[in-house]
Amino acid sequence: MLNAYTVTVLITIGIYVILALSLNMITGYAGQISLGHAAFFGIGAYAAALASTKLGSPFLLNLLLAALAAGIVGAMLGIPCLRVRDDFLAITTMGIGFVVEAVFLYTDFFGGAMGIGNIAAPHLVGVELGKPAFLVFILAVILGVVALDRWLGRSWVGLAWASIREDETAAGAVGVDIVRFKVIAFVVGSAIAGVAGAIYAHFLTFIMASNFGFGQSIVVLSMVVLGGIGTIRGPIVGAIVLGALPEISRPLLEYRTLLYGILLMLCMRYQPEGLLGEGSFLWNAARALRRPTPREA
Amino acid sequence: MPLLAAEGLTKEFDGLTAVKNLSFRVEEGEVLGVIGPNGAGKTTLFNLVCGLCAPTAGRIRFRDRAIHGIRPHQIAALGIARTFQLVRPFPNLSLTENVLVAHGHRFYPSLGGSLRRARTGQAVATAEALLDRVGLREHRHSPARVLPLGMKKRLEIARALALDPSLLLLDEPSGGLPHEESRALIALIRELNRGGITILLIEHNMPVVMDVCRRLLVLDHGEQIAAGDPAAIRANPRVIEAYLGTAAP
Repeated sequence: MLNAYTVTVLITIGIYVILALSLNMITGYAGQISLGHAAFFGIGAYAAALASTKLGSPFLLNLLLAALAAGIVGAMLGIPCLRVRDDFLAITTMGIGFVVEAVFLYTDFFGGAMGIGNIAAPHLVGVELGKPAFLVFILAVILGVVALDRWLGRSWVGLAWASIREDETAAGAVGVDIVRFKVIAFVVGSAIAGVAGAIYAHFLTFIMASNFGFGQSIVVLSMVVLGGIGTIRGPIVGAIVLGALPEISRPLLEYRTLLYGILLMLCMRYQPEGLLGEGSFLWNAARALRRPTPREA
Repeated sequence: MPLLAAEGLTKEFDGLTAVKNLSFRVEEGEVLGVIGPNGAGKTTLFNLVCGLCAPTAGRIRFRDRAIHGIRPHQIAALGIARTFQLVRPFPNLSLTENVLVAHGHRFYPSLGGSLRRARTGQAVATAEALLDRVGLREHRHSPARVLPLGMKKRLEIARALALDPSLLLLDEPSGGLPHEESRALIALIRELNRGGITILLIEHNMPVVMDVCRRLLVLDHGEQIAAGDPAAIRANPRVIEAYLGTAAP
């Protein structure tokens, strides 16, 4: 039914969905702008690649290791981010992204400019996953992330994040431990990005530093912003739209960044809350369709 | 034992001394007014008590605990709540959510507690009861940003009350409000005080201050220039000088 090419595109989009959801926790929920999110995607990918090639450890364990590695580094790198706000935070996270990419690129341990190849294809209980099965696996991961996302969003953690996003000073004054909840956001968001990285590494079986650079961070941020920051549906739709666009027409691939740029500019000008954000044109229309009569609403 | 006691409190910002060697006590159950001309250091004093900035020198005790240098959320959890001179509600959260954020202070310290569902029937009912107390229940679903100034000030009080405070710091609660609203707000402050909450009040509106406070602390250029009951303060030449300046020689 689906040809191999379509499945490959869907898998790539699925990985972007996970990434966009993870960035959304940090930037959308806790309000901490990050221009270096691809670094944690990369840390997860490299952790899984090294575990697979050097230790021969299995796919599922590598997902866990990747989450752990990215989560721990996320906590450590989150510390310099705790003392800076807004535009300074943007620059700091951008710097983190450059540093991490450079470490991958210039350290022999991480394969240097050659990257890491021969990563084992994904196996589950000893059986190699074909592409369709891998796609199903990714969908399951996405469902898991969405469930975690909803749970956190409804918990006191979610409310504390919202208060920090709205007004950090006021949040502290009413009992919210700013440092603690920012670190939780960085750890959870980074760990999930790490899982996406491990999936990516095992899917491509070959990774290199340039896959995890500044451009990649911006692509993920664009997906979150275009879809509707701070919602669950927004980053998912953003990842699907921006992930699919270059595949729909080949010429678009060459102008990918140009297209992203134009879309972002239009979005900021006409729909700053994103395509499906609260109060956006499309979301209001969707709600009107769901509730045809005022009586039902 | 006083509820709050400051000793030799000093705060310097890059060479500017905003608060200088200030010592005072707040007794349990009183309404202590803090007055002084603009730039006297009143808001800095609040920020010191709330942990928003650390004193350069001096100490602050709340009951029998030293609180200088600890972080704002810890001070809030001890039962010291505040409102802001320039109101700071969480603009895009509903009124109920605004109050819930403060109600959550009992869940934030433990990870297990933090992961529990926030909008339980009980928590929402508590938040709505507090909104009711300040007369905002009917607006509970609106985002805070749409409220007029007077209601935002009331919302900040409801949010502060969710901390179950024993000391409430109000930074110019009647500032910028029309006469009627400001009178209603003063009535609310009185009621809270009668309910057992000790209040530290910064206020520019002199009739209000003289009316509500039994005792006043007067600051000028970061220093205490007078303290005492309203009648004595009104007659104090140093206070008159600070507000009006000295006559030309």
